[in-house]
Amino acid sequence: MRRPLVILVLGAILGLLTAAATYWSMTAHHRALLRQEQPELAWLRAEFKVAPEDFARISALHQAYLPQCAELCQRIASCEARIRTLLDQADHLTPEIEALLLEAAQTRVECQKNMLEHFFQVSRAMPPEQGRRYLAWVKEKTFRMDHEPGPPGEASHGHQGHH
Amino acid sequence: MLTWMRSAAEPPGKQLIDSMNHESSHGPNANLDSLLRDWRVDDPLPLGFNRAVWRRIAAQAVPAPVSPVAALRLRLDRWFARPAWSIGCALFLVSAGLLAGYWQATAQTARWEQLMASRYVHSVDPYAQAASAP
Repeated sequence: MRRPLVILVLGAILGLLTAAATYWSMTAHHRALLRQEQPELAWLRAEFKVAPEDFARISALHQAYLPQCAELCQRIASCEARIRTLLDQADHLTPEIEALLLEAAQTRVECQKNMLEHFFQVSRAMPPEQGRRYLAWVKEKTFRMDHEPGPPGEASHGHQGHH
Repeated sequence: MLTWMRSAAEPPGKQLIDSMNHESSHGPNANLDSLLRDWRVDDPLPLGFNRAVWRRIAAQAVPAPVSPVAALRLRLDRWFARPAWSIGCALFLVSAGLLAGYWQATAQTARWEQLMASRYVHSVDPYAQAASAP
């Protein structure tokens, strides 16, 4: 009984070690990406095969865009909150609600213009083929309409989905 | 078989013993060899002899009842006594480990890629940020 047990235990240990080594080596690249200061940018660089010099430009564009994005985010949140408050109290369409809806629409246009501008700039900083791929991907993720549902488990949010 | 041989007309066993006793001082091995060489059995086997022999062997070969655990141990001992089986078993476990590691890593990297892609979209999409804001 001793020999079969030894073989089985050694085989199981060897199997576990093989599993751990395979997992460790196959996930090494992604673990390194996640350890970066901005994993999303590190992922972008790896996914769209961005050269180091192009990546520096893309990072600069990204950093410059973030404050605009944050400001727009504030405006959208504030506008939506005010609309919700007014709608809770109103029983008919008031000029204030109308004005806020107009403001929300204008914010949305501005937001989409800014985003598109940023996406085009980033795509131009990439090699042409990768730039086209990036544009197709990011537009699909950010400009998806309600009647075009994304694949199940999609983490991104289409603009229309928030209204 | 010896019983049957002794029942022959000229019992060879008796002849052999007599010969050994008689020739013990002259080198019994030479006489024994020559006697064994000359030993012929011409009588036919009794009817059903072979079947009777096999029946007796089978009757004696019936294994004593063993517990399932003991039977499993015995079987494992027999299997793992073969090097090919042992090597095959170890290779199977290593292959299973390789596949499990590969499958886990593939699933995990896919999850991480989706997470990082979502984080990128979230970082450039003010509406996504506004939606997730408290």
